[in-house]
Amino acid sequence: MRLRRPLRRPELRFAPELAAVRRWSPVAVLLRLLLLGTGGAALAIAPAGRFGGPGVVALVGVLGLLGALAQPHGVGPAIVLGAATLSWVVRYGTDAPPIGRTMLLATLLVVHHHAAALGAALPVTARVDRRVLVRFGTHLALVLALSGLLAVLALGVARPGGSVPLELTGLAAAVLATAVLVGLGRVRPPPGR
Amino acid sequence: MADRPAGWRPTGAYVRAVGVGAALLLGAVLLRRPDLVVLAAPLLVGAGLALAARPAAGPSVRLSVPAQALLEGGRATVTAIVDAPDGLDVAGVVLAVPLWLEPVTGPVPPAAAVAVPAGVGPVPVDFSLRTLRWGRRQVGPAVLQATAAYGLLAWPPVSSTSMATATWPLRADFGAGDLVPRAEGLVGGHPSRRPGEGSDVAGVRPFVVGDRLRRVNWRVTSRTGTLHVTSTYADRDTEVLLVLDSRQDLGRSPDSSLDIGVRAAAAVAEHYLRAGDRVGLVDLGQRYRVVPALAGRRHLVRLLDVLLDARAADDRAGLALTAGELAGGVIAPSSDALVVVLTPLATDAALRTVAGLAQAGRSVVVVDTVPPTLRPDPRGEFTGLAFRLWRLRRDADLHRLVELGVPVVRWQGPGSLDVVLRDARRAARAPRAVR
Repeated sequence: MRLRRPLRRPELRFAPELAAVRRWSPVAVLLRLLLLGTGGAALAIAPAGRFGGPGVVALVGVLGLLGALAQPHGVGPAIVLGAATLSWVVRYGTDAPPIGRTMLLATLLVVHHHAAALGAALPVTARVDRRVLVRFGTHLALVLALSGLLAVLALGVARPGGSVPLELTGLAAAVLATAVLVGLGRVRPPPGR
Repeated sequence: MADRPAGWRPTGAYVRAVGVGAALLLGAVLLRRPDLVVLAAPLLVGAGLALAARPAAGPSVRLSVPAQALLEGGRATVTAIVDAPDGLDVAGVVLAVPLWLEPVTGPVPPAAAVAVPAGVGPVPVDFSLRTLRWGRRQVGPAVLQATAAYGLLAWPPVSSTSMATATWPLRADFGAGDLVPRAEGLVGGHPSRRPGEGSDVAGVRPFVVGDRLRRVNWRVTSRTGTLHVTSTYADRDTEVLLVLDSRQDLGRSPDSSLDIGVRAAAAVAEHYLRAGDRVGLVDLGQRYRVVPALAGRRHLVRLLDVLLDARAADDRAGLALTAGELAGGVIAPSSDALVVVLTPLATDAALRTVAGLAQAGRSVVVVDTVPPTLRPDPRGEFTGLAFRLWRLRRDADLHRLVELGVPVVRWQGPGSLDVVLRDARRAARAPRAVR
C-alpha cells in the first residue's frame, strides 16, 4: 500500500530583497516616500502634466526614479533631476514659463536632491537621531530662503535682449560659480599628512 | 582591492548638485531663460553653503564594552565613540555582533546614525545588546560611515578594533538547601555530625567547664536543679569537586548537553562558594586545566574562566582525561569530598568514570545533562530506530548506576540537586566496601 504524502499548503515567502526591505528603519522608508513624491511630482510637472510630448525623457526619468528609490547613492536621483529639467526646457522652449510652476519645480528638485543625499548617508536599518533630521531640515530651509531671494532677483531682471557683453558676463559667472564649487569639492589630504 | 586613501571625497550628491546646477546655469545664459537660474539656484546655493563649512580633519571611532562579565540572558550596552573635531552631519555606525549576541531591538547588525557637532568632543553611540549563550566573544568592529557637507562629502569607512567580552554561564540562582554528605572542614556553613559551635541542636547535657553561658538551657536547669546547656553540631565547610564531561556534546546550542553541563557546574560552584565551601573543577576534555578545590569569590572567577573554554573534546584528541586517570588520583579529591559529575552518560567511558569514582568510595552525584529536547536526525533512514535503541541502553545503564548507589538527577535549574544531595548524604553515612 502506498502512503500518500499529506498535502502541504504553499508557503508564502517574500523575495530576499523584499524581506530585506522589511528591516528598513522608518526614516529610511519615509525618505524613499519623499523621493517618490518629489521625483514623481517633478517629472509630472515639468512637461506640464503631459508625458506624451517628451515621452522618452519622461520614461528615462521614471526609470531613474525607481533607481533612486533602490539606491539613493546611485545615479537615479541625477537622472530624475536631469529628466525633469530637460523636459522643462523642451516644454517651454524660449517662452517664459509660469513663475509659480517654476518655483514649485525648483523646490521639488532641491527637496528630492536633499532626500537622496540623506538617504545615501544613512544605513537603511539605522535608528536615526532626531538631530540629524533637524540639521538637514534647517539647511534645506536656509537654502530655500536664499534661493528664493535669488529667484526674485533673476525673475525681476528684464530679459537681456541679446546683449552680447551681458551674455558673456553671465557665462563667466556660471563658469566661475562652477569652478568655485569644484574647487571646494576636491579631495584634500587630512591635516598633518 | 587597494584601500582608498583617506580624505573627504565628493559623493554622488555633489556631482549631481554641481553638474545639474552648472548645466542649468549654462542653459540659462545660452537660452536666455532666467527660469533656469531659479531651478539652478537651490542646487548651487546649497552646495556652496555646505562646502563652505567643509571639515578638514577626519573622523575616528573606537569601541567600549562593559569591563565586567555578562550573565546569560542579561543585557549590556556597547558604545561606539565617534570623534570628529570638525563635526559630521551624519555619522552612521554599523556594529558587527557575533553569534549569540543580538540587539535588544532592531535588526542584525545593529546600526545607528547621529550628528556630531563640531567642537563638542567625542559622541557616544549606544547599542543595547542581549547575550544568549555563555562563552567568550569578540564584539565589533564598529564601522563608521561619515558624511559631511550635507551629504556632498564622504570619508572612506573607518573601522574600530574588536573588543572581547565574556558571558558567564550563570542565569537563574541555584539553591540547594540540603546537607552535604560529609561536612569535613574546620569552619563553614554546613552542620556536621561532630559536636561544636553551630546552629543545629544536638541535645541537652550537663554543664562542664568551658561551656559558654549563653548556651545554658534555663528551662531544664530549673527543672533538674543542676546546670544544663544546649549542645549543637559544629558548622563546617566541605569540599565539592565538579567533574564536567565535555567529551561529548549532544543536541544543539544553546541547549546542548555541554551547555547544560556548563550552566549546572557554574550554578553549583557559585552556590557552594557563596556558602564558604571549597570547590574544585575537572573538565574531562581539558587535561591540563584541573582546578584544585579552593574557596572564595576570586576562585569562582577562576572556575568560570575554565568553564568558558569548555568545548566538545572531539577536536582536541589526546587531551581528554580517562576514567582510570580520574579515579586513580589525577584529581585526588579528599575522601569526604562530594563529587558532582555532570555528564550526558552517552558512552561507556562516562559510565566507567562514574562507576570508578563510586567504587573508590567517593560520594558521587551524577547530573544528567542530556537535553530534554534531544531528537534523532530526521534525515537518516535508521537514525530514529538507532536513537531509540540508544535510549533504551542508556536507561539500563542509569539503572546500573543507581544500583551502585549513585544518585542520578536531570538538571532542571535551581533546586535540582536538593533531593539528590539528601540521598547522597544517606549513602555516604552507610557502610560501604571499597574495592
